[in-house]
Amino acid sequence: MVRRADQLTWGNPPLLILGSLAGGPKHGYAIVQDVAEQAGITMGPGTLYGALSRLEERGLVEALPGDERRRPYRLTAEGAAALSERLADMSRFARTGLARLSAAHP
Amino acid sequence: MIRLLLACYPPSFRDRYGAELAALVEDTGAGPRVWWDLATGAAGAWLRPVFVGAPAERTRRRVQAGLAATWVAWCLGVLAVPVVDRALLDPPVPGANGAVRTLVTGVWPVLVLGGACAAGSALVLAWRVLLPALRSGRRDLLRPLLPAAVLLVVEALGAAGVWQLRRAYPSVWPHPSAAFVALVLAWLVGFAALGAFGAAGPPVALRRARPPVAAMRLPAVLAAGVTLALAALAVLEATAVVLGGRGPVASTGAAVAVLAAVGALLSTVRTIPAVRRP
Repeated sequence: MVRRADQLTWGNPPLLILGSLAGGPKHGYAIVQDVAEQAGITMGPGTLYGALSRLEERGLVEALPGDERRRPYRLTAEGAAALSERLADMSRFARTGLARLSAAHP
Repeated sequence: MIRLLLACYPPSFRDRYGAELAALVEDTGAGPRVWWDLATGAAGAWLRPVFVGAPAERTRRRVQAGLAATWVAWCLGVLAVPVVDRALLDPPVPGANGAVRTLVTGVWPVLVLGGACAAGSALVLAWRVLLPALRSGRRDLLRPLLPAAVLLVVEALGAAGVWQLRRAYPSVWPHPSAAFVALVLAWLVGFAALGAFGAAGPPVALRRARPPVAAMRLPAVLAAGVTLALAALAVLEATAVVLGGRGPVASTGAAVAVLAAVGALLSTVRTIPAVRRP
């Protein structure tokens, strides 16, 4: 379950996790805190590990050695490429939306 | 509550993420939202299981989970057969025409075929996995199987006792005493427990044994036969219930059979490619 701060949210859990790990390896709680700070979205533990497990299965993130209860994760090269591609799409969308807004409501 | 919800996740998920998930719940705190989140997360993990790790280990876990899912589905499907049979034919409902009777009785040979595949799969696993493990001193594999074994003996003795009572005192049978009714109810509770332990025990033992894929290949092929039987059984029962009048008990029985068949089919479709892989 993702608790949203507003209705026009743009994030989905896998993307938010990849975005959080772009800043460096983090364990589960650090990801939850980072996503809450950066996106205003509170991810539940089941949602986080459901998404994290699928990302790990697809090879987009990997677990690092560490405490079994607070294992850190990092982006793989494939994960970084997938995130970069998605962020570029989002960036284009944002630029277009902002340009249209400023043209219609100068 | 949290421990119960965490226990609802599939074993493979708990093995890999259970400790981290529990630590995160400790850090973030629990509450109704977290309970709901964990419950939906557990349901999602069962519906679309995730297997991480080295490719060989992922394949092994996939096949192991497929065998476990098929076994649980088979136990559920088997349970539904007498329920539908009794609900439609004992006494016959008004809609129980020849076609319905044929469908309901036609389930039993399918049950025997599926049972033969299930027994074959279990025997191969016992021969290739359980016996070698026991020879090397792995008694922990027996523990999950013991409750079902004990209950099986108790229930068989109980059924034999009831049958003897019925034979010895036929005139008393239509008006049983309260003590006798209580005994029969206890037998039924024991039967339900036997079903639950019988369904859960072998998958737990299999998980503890961690057998290689090679040992599970033939059982997985036989499990595909179990799935086919389960699918045929579900189709026959659902059709019989639709034709024979949809009483609540018969409908529930057929719904359980259909759910079990769908679960087994989904699992088998995902398992077979893993078994084929060299």
